[in-house]
Amino acid sequence: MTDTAFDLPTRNMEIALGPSHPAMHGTVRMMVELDGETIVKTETEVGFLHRGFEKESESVHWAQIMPYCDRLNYVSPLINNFAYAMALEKLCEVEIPERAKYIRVIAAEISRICDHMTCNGAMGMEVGGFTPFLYMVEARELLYDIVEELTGQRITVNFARIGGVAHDLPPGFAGRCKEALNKAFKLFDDADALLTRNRIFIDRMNKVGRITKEQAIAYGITGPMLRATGVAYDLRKAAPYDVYDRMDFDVPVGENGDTYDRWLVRLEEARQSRRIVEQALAQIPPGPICIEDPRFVLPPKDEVYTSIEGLMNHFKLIIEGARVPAGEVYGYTEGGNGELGFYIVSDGSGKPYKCRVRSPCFTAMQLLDPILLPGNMISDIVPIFGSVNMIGGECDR
Amino acid sequence: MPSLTLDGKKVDFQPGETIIQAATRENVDIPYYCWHPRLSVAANCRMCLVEVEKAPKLMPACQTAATEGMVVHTQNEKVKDAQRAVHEFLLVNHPIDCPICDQAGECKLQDYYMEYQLKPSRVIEHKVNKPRLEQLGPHVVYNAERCVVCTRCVRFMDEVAQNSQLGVFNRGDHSEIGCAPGTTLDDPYSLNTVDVCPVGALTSTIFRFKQRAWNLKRSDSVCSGCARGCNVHVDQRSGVVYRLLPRDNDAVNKAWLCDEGRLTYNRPNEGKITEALVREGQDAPITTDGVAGLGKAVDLLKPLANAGMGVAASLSLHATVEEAYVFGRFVKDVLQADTIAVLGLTPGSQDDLLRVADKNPNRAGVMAVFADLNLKPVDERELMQRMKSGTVKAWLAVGHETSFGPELAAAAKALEVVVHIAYARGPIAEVARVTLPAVSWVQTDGTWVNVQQRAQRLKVGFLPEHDAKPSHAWLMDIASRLGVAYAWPSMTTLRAEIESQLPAFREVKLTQVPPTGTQLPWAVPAEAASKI
Repeated sequence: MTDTAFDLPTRNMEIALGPSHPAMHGTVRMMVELDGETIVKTETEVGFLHRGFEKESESVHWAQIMPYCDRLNYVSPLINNFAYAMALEKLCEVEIPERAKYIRVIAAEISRICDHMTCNGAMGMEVGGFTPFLYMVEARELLYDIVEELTGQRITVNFARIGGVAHDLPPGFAGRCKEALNKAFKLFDDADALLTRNRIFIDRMNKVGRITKEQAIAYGITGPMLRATGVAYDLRKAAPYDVYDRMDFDVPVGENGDTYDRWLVRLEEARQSRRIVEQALAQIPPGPICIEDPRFVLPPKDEVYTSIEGLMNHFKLIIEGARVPAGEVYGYTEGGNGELGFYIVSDGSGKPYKCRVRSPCFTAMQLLDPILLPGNMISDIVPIFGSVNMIGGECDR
Repeated sequence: MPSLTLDGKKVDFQPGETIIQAATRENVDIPYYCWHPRLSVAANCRMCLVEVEKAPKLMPACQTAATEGMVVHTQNEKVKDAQRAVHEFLLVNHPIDCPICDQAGECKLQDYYMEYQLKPSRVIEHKVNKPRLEQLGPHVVYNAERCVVCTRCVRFMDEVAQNSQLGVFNRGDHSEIGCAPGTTLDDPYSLNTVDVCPVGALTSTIFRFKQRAWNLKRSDSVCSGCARGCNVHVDQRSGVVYRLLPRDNDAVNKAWLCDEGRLTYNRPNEGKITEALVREGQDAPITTDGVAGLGKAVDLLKPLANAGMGVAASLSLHATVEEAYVFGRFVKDVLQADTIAVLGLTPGSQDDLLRVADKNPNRAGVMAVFADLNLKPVDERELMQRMKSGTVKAWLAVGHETSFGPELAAAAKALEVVVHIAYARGPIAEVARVTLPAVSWVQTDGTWVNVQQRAQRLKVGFLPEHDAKPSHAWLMDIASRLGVAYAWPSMTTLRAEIESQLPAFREVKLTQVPPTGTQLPWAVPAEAASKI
């Protein structure tokens, strides 16, 4: 302190950010304690979007949970579907057909691209660049069209089934999918070009909101946030499921674990996902898209309408739910934000005894108060928070 | 004790038992249609075939006597094949009916299909057509196409109802159940055939097409139809009771319930009061909320309290022991009524099976409580007489069950004060100045004592609607407004007080009545005998 400066009798100011604030994606509230413009302390409160997913799951049949999964990470609902279905399939000890695995990979990777486009687009907007956001969201919309063509819905897809998927790829899907990807990535590249080498953007993002490898691992962080610190951990490589072991793709990693690295990792991951989609579309074999196991899968409609056996099978599966063998299981996938896991306990009845979600952004939100925010400027809250990519539906369940 | 080997496990059995009885006790699942633990063995469905070592063929577990050293397999491939094949045969002629079948959701064909068959149909022939809507009797409808001819219903009528009204007609896949020409299934126990039917062949006219089985919520209770107090399941949805089904109790009703008792399912629904009724002058009663009703009741009863002259109080014989105790204390401590009466339904039909003439489910309990409280109740005729002669000027009527409803109401019309607590709107509610909404027995936590002097617990099947609450809760409210504070914060404290205060209940653990009831050490009257 120089002698010209003197102590102003200031007090720290507390301001409440959210829960209803345009920059607080989803619904989250932060009590921020400021010394001037510097953040002294924050208290983040999640749970405003809590709908009791886990408890509600205990009162509905296994299959009825599938549409609830759509509402977890609602930007990439297909991945949630597949994570839940994979956990159940592990418990039921069924192996899904090859074609279903490929369809799941294609759908999941398109969803991942949507997820990263949304997050990165919003991150541009967070620091004042509205144009890249519009580009990214327009690109995402092209992919949502593809999702809609496949599942019938943009977001509320309800697409996975125990033992496979609900629908086959529609005729001519591969061509339209590639076309949509081409168009979408043109917009994506434009947004990239507008921001990645932009001086203002770099100044706002670089070395802001840093975490180290050790911190990330200690806090159980997964996904792009972990990879931005330099740890090349991706479940699609570390514990391949479906047909990821046959796909040629790279796992991009960052160096500094800051907001800028998270931006770069997501950009590159979206491009890698595109590679996976294109490979899967080329490799996908013909065949069934779902297993034929009357214990879990509804019989074909003509059997339901014309034979008592089919009708009873259908009736029992609908009214009482498929009887998933008793036991407990943990199923996981690499979601848009990291490891999305379902821990399921079955007592052998048609409903779960417990259905717990390991949501990646709930874990990541822990970092905000102790590490990411203190010491930064108030204007950094929003980009840092944006780079965590908290999705209310997934975090609050 | 002799033993056999069941799926590699040593299982003891009583001499004379069959394999299925030993297996059921060991929780080994053997599927069956025709076997019923309380009926004779027919062994015609062939679903319970098991492999017995050294026997040349698979044996029906329901009929094969267990013998020392027998080795039985119930889970091996041979048995599973047989189960699949038998079930496939059972479904060969079964219509595609689940969406319109009342049994769907509680049908053994559906359950066993999922557990033991799980194969698509191989039948290409037409199914055999049979009568689909045969009215066997006033309450039972028969669909021959759904029938698996297990003959449980025939055996029930022969062995339990002792009235052989049913038989099997024709042969092979044309077999069907029926009554002899010109006769009908009109036995007072006919609806038990619907219960024992494992499929949707026999359905009840009172329940047909009213509700789907899986939408109903089930609670345990006791039948209010007569003093036998048969144990029942109450099936309700959204506060409407749709059916009563027998609940197993070896000491009372085994697994059966009479038609008359089942038909009381509608009592909790008919004319239900959930808000207070208030009547001014000669006008018809109008609905108001419980607080206003309580205020009105207190205003009316206040001048009477401790006056002691010309005040009558009556209790229904459908009240629980707990309600009777609170009522007794109320009339002694608060109202000091000089006429105490018990009201109930008129005696009705009886037989040597379940039904008894007294149609009031808790006469024994109410009378025991009153005797111990030194209350000497008069009957309904005497109460009417006192009203007509002018000895009674005010009346507190708890419960709407009466034998001479309209006559009693006409006599009560002249009274200055009539305060009524009831769950349904009957003749008394039409003449009462105030009617407070009580709850029916399916919504009450309480105890009834049946004709066999067995205390049985009523459970709350669903919560009271609007302002309704048990009559003893209303009496406690009125008492506190009139300056007498009763401290029974819970049913447990109330029951503990009854146990300690009333000599008749001193030996009884009223707080711990098991689901099948407690036999009280009281003298059992002759009419309690049953041949069931």
